[in-house]
Amino acid sequence: MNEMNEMNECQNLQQQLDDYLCERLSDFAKRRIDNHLRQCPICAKEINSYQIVISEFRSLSQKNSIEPSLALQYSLKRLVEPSSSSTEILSRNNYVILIFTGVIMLGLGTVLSILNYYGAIATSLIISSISALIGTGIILTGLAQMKRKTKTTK
Amino acid sequence: MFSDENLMTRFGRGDNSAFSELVDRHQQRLLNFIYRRTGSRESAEDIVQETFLRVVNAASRYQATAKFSTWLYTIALNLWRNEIARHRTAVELNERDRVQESSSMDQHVDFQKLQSLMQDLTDEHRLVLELSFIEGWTNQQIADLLNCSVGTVKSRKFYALKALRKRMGIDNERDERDERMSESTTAIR
Repeated sequence: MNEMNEMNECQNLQQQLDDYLCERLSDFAKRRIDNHLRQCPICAKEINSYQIVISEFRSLSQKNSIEPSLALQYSLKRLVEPSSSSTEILSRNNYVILIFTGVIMLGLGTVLSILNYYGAIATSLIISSISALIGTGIILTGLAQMKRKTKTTK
Repeated sequence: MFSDENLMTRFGRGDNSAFSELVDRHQQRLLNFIYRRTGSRESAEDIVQETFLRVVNAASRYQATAKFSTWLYTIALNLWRNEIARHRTAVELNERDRVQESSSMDQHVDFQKLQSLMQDLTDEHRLVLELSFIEGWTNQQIADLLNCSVGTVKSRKFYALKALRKRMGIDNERDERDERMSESTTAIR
C-alpha cells in the first residue's frame, strides 16, 4: 500500500516538476513534494541534478552580464526628449510665423508705396518704405534661422 | 506600481515619463538577453537602441493585447535574427566581436563556458531555458514569443535541461533507466 502511495507521489512529482523547478507551486503543493523527496531517493536525486544544472546556468549567465553603457542610456533618453520632437515642431512653426509676418509687412509697405505714388492716399513715403524694409529683414532672418536649424539637425 | 502595459498606453498618449520608466525597467535585462546571443556589447547595444526606437515609433498604435515584455523581446529577437542574416552566421559574428572586445578576461572565459555548455542546444532550446530560468517568464509567455504551444515549451525546457545535465556529467538514475528501456525496446524490434 505504501509502495503504491509512493509511486503515486512519484507521478505527481513528474507532473509538477516544471512548476516545482520554476518555484511556481503553492505552499501546500511544495510541501507535498518536499515530503516525497525525503522518502524517495530516486526522485530526490533527479530534482537535485536539475537544480544543480539550473544553478550553474544562472551563475554563468550572471557572471556574463553587462551594464548598459552611458552612451546607450543617453541615446535611450534622447529618444523622447522634447528637443528632438515637440520643440522642433514648435520652432519650425515659429519660423513660419516669422516669415509670414515679414511677407505681410513687405506687402503692406509695397501697397502703401503704390497707393502713395498714384496719390490715392496721403501717407508718408518714409512709413511705407520702413514697413517694406522691416518686412524684408524679418523674412531674411526667418530663412537664415531655418537654414541654420536644418544644418544642426542633420 | 503601474504595469508595463499601462505605462505603454500612457506613453502612447504623450506621457514621456512613462517611456523612461519602461526603459529603466527593461534596458538591462534586454541588453543581457541580446548580449548572450551576440557576445558583443556593441551589437547588443545597437539592437537595444533600435528596439526602443521601434517602440517609440509604434507607441501611438500600441494596443495592450499581449504582454509588453513579449512584444519588446519579439522586436529585439527579430532584429538579432536580421543581424545574423546580414553576417551570414552567428558564429562568424561572435568570433569577430569576441576578438574585438576582450574587455574582461574573466567575463570572456565565462562567456566561453556558457557557450560550450550550451553548444549542443539549438537556439530555440536556449531561448526557452533563458526565458524560463533567467527572465522568469511563464510557459505561456514563452509560447507567445516563440509562437508555439505551452506543451512544446515544456518539452523543449526538459530536453535542454537533460542535455545540460549530460554535458555537465551529472548522472541520473531515471535517465539511465529510460535509456536502458529504449535500448531494450529497439532490441525487441
